[in-house]
Amino acid sequence: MNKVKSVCIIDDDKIFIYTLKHLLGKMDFCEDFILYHNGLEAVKGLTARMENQDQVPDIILLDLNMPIMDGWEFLKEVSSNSELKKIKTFIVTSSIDPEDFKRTKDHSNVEGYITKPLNSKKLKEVFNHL
Amino acid sequence: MVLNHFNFIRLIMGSPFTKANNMSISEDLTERLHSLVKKNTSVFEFLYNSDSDGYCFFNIQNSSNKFINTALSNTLGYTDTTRDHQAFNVFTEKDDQRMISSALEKKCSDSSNFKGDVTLKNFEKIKIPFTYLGVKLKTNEHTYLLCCFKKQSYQQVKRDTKLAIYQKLFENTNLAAWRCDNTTRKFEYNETWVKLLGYSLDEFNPTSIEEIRTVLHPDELTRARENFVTYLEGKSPFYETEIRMKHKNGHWIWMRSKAVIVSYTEDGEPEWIYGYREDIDKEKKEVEIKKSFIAEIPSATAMLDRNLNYLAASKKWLTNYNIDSKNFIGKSHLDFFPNLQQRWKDIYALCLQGETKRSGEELFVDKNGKEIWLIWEIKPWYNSENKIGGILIYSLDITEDKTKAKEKEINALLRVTKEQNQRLKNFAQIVSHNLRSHYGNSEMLLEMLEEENPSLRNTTTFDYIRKTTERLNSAIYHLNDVILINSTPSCDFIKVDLNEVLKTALINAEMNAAKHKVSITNSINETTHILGIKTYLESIIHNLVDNAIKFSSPERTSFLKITYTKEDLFGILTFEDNGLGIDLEKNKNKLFGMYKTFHKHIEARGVGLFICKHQAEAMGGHIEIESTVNVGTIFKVFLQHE
Repeated sequence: MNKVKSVCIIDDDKIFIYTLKHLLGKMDFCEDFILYHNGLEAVKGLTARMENQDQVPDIILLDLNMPIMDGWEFLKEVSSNSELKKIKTFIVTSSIDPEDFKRTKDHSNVEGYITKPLNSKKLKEVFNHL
Repeated sequence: MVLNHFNFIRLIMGSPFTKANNMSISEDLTERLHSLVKKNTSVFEFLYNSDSDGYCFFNIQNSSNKFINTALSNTLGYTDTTRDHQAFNVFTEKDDQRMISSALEKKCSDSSNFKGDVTLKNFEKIKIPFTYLGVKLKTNEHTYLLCCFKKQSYQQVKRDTKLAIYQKLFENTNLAAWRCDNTTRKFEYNETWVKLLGYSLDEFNPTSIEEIRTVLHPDELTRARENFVTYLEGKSPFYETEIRMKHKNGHWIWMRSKAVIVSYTEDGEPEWIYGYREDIDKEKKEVEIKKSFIAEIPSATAMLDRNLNYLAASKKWLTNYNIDSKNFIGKSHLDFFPNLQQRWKDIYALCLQGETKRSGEELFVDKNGKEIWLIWEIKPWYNSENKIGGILIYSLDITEDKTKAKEKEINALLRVTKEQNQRLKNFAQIVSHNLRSHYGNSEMLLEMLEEENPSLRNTTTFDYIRKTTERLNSAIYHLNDVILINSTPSCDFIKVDLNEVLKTALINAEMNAAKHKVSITNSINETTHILGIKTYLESIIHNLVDNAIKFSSPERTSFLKITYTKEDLFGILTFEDNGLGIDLEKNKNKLFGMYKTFHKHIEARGVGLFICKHQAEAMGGHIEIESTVNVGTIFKVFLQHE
């Protein structure tokens, strides 16, 4: 398992973030989290980080169903940004709809599709993949 | 006896002439006749050729001075005794006059023949018709008339009587009468007849059938001639034709002409034909106006006369019923609809009596089997005399409107279905996103809680919370499956290797089967393929294998036999077990329903069969079940084979 510097979580579900942070912290494979509660917040935040030459996250864990800007719109925004496009993105969603799964194949930066609930086993697979 | 003329006359006359007052004809007269015959052979020939029933001989100047021979008095039934008193009375005065005047009309000299009809009274004073042939004989002092009589045959009498009646009618009627002699082609008409055309008798000259044709309209002439010939040939019971005739002023007038054959020649050929014309111009022109009006009516309309013959029809009618527009007027409705139902004939009859009949929307099937929706109406039409002239049939094809209405209905349904489908999809999203996210959080929180408080692990409460969460997950999972089947449109089926799917399913079920001690046998050929959707097939097989294991009987050695047979329409995949079985009588209706379970079994979720059924149907097949409680169950999955 590779330890990474920074993981970006884009999800509006506070309970999920709480549990995910707990899991990540327990497993100790990242130094830092960046949190955004919807796609728009993430686009703005990440773009600002790049402009300020701040630390850009190594991976993004992206929820699909969010208010204001959902996961799909976020992916679309990112696709026109050559830098952000490089960040490896994992969809983390409670959706078990095969249509959603199929749709992720259109996005080259999406590395995997993980269904909630998460557990240490699923997370390990993610980081092994890196 | 020397056969001189005298003797000859005696011979052919049978006996000497007898004067009515029983005086024999004088030798002198006989001599005179003899000398006449000698002078003029034509008189001899006349007597010789006359095949007569008797002779009469009288003085033209004094018609009472009459002589009849014995043959004639015998013909009339007089005996020698009655003859003396009554023989003279055989002639009526009128007949006398007629014979004499026709003799006098012959201005030429002796021996000009003439003929005519007379009635002679027999001994019972009954008038008997005769034809006579006369010859005038002149001597120095007197002019004599010699007539030979021939009794008319019954046919002849009948014919003549008939002709006489018609002759009278012809002369005295107010009808526009005409007659023609078909043998001579002579054509005659009375004054009323010529007046119809605006002429007086003096002005109008045609005297033959051929000449009369010059005033007949060429458009109707052919049909009129055809009708006439048909009648003459006995192929039609009467002659009636409607034809335009040229008025003196040059315009055409519609006439109806009717005629009968009154007499026949001896050869049986039609001879005298009498007829009359009536002016139907007004009536006809009214119809003509109606006709051109009806032709343009946009709906299918037909105008028939009282005999159901066509007077007019709209173009639409002619196209709808495939009727030749050039040749339908005057033809019978029944000619075009030979299989017309009695129902329609009854309706026509009622309408001809003044009723109006109409329908609601009615479905007909045309000869090509096409369904046609019609509204129809049938009503009488009245002529200028306010009499029913026939019927009008009107029908409106509303098939298109009907179809449109149906289409509308279907579209409305389609819209509703689409909306519902959309709602179903939304619902599916809510299930897979929202519901599942709550479950996911619970699951993760439970895990955290367990880690932080290991002592909780063995408490009943914690264990139940765990199980509840798991069941919530599986319920959501299946609900999602159900929605996906119903909202996924049927796509093209692909060839699926049945054995490959089955083997994977069996490997997955291996542990479970071993736990429940179920031996599974798969006797499907290596190269068996079906047409369908792979994931659906996987799901069906998984569910049915799972089912058989789950509901195996702990009381016996359990088995599950999987076979495949190929039939005409379907390939049948069979799962036979000897498990608990299902009471089909009780559960028939809810067998494949959602969330129905038949066993108080810990893992019975009830969604499995529901999903199997719908997946099989989505692949164009279905599922059948046979089961006996405590004996076993057979599931047959009908699939489309390769």
